[in-house]
Amino acid sequence: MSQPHDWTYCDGHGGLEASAVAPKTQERQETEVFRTRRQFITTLGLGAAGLMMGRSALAQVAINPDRTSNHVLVSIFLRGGADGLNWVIPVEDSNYYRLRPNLGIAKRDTLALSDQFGLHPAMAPLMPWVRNQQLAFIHACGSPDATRSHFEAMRTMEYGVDDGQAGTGGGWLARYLADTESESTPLRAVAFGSVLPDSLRGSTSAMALQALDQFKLEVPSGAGNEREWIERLSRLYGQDKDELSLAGHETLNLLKTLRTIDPEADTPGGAGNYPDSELSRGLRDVATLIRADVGLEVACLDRGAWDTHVAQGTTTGWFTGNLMDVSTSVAAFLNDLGPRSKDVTILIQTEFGRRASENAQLGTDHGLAGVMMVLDHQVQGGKVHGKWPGLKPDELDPVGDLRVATDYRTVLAEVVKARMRPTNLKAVFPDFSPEVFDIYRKSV
Amino acid sequence: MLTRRDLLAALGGAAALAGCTPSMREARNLTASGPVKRASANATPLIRKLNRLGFGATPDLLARVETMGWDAYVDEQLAANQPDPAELNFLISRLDIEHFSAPDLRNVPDHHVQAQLRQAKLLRAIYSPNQLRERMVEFWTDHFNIDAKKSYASYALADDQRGVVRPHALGSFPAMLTASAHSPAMLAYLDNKVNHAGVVNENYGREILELHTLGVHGGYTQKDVLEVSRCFTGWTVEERFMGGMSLREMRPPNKMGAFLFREDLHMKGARTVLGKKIPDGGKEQGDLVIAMLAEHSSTANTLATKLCRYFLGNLAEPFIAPTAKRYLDSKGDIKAMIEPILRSEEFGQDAELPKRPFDFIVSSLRALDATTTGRGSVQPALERLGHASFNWAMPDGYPTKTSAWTASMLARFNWALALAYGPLEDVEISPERLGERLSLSPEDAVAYCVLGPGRELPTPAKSAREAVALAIASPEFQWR
Repeated sequence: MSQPHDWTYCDGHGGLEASAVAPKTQERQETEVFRTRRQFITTLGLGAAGLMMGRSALAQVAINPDRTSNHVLVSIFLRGGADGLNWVIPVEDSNYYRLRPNLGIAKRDTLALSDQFGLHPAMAPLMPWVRNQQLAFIHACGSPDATRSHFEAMRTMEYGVDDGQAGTGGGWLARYLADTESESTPLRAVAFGSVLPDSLRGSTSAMALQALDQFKLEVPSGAGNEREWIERLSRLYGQDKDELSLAGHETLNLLKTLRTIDPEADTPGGAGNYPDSELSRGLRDVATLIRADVGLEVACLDRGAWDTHVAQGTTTGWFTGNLMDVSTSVAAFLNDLGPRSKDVTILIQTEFGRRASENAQLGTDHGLAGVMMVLDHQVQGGKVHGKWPGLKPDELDPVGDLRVATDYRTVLAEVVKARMRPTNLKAVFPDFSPEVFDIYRKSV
Repeated sequence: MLTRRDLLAALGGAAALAGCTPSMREARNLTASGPVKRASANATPLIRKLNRLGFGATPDLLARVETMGWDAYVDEQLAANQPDPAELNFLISRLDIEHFSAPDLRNVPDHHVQAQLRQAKLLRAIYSPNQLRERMVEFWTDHFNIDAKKSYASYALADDQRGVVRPHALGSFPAMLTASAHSPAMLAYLDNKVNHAGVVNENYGREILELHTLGVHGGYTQKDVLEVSRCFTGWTVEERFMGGMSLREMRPPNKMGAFLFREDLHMKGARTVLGKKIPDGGKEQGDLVIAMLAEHSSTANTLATKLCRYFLGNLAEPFIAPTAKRYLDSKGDIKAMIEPILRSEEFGQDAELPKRPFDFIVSSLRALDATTTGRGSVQPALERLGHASFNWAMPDGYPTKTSAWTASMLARFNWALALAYGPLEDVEISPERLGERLSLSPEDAVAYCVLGPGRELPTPAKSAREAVALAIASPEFQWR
């Protein structure tokens, strides 16, 4: 994505890898033109009887017995270090106002969340989901990384480890995909960006796309059109039953399916509700993939420009604009999905929060703990989870940062356990033993 | 403190390093232009063998191998002493990575170094006549995987390729293992350079056991991992500009970035590894571990299994035990292990071996006698296919199983179309010229070169360009 990475200038650490976003898809629905590998194989297994039963029989055998098969994780990474204290605001804590005499947001300007916390007013578009208890906040959440380097902190979180620099295990989502590999699909994993984000590093089933319309046959001029080539190649990939032939067959079917989608007509929730931003365009593409039932499993997106060292503003300005983009984009996405939003978990995280005290330039410097958000029909939403370490001088870390009370992997592991495919959490998060921490409802 | 980098920059060193890069004009000299003798229809099975031994047939190679016979070709490839074309050497000699040691390369942007590493590897795979050697370089680069993006490992990777993988690719495995343990790129990648007494880092100790030698079920314990790691404490990299010395006694500059054993960081005491005693000592403790692992029967099994599967896919099983025995009998001679595999009947049989994207791209360029500098559009295509060289984060190397590569099909189709119709930056093909050289129509020449003598396209093509796209995108061309 070409978000302005203002924060790339603020830290001397090298090794910046272009940020990217990776949504994944997994196909499982059938249409006349689209049939998944699993269905294909299952059908072969059923023999002629399966074929003669026609589409309804296919639909039946296609039902995935594992409970989370239809679920999509939409992971949004706020790059640059989003200020958790001005996002989920400790409105009853006088220390907050003492530390932030200019940047502190008055209680009367916040949206009521709990006895202790109020939300930044830019979260208003998401208040319906707060009230429906589908949006949960985890405060004082972060990683063991204490370098306060964007790059080390991001890599640590995206690798799902204690220390991203020591790690050679690739991304946590890549490990999850490898561990749950049950069917190979052409769009199991897609990153909206120019390269895969570190969370998907090491997954050969992940694909980076700038936008969904890039998932196409690139037919050079003079070579005819895409439809002809899809037909031509389909003649080569119709018969054989080996893995690559099936994959080619599925890829071509997916291309056919996507060709039938008119993005303008395919926004039942109203295209006009999506703000004009990169995050928003990415989410709109994710909604299209979910509706097309191509088997999306994980979608990763980025939103940059959170490194508010200077003039971050309070209820207007830089930080407010960022938060507005997130909340309006996510709200438009959920409205667009309508009933299908129950199949989605939206996970929003950032590499670290910011210093508890404001700086002399009316901004905030790199801190430790921040906020994570989980939006899901089954989460215990409408409240703030996690212990609150406090903002008194002796409660902050020596540098003056909110301490990490909840490890970021606690939240990731909860989401995986409650909503994604059964997996070995030890393989996904190798140096971590999740604490008992229930952000999901017991009935899950 | 003045660093070497500052000094060089001040002296204008950075500008001097900008270097030149190979151009298409030079690359064009790499492809032949005279008439090609056609192989007979019986030679088609050779295409599969050439896909496995190396990176596929070229228009000239097919008839040459048919004439000389497979066994003679295997002899030639095992000897690996065919002179590389002067033009290939020239193209590669223009790269900075060929001329600068790791610390000096650090004045070149990281991504340029990575691009050059990838370019050199690709050019050799396409144009070197020593195809088996390049095939084994591919194999060992995965076996001793190093992620260029970790800890600036890219700067030391050129030395790793030059000093570890390439010289031993068809030589002695114990020698390669020893070189790898001393390689600054590996020391950085698997954190052994920060493995010190008091702060033991187990990363290298674990992977040398699990991935490089014994295998995960090779009979070691967690205690062995710790003890091996302790033996390797103090094996690190010289990172001080003057080696910690005064100006007068300064080390030669090339010492910087080189392997360094530091007694002061080495953990004292005797160790027990795999039930054997390793006496108290210095660097020789690590050397003893390497020797012990190199002669272990589990290492023989690990390497035999991996090599047999790499060359024989699902036909590997009966070959594994004899190959392991040959490893032990020959004290780790790689040629001794693979020679019977290359000469076996099974080597030419269907074994469900997929072309990984690197194979797919290289074999497409070889089949069509393409001209390329190895830059331009080729590297982005490999990235889209998920197989850019030196870019695998995990120490296990790029996967070999077919299911790992099923997401690459769209990118394969797009490569086939782009290669056929162009224009592609830094890549040129000419079906018309192929036709002239083979005395065939351009369409038939494409079918001959890509699919084999006497073979037809999977579906009729209206033009030579369409023939290229269909042949390269065909299911058949996706297999090794």
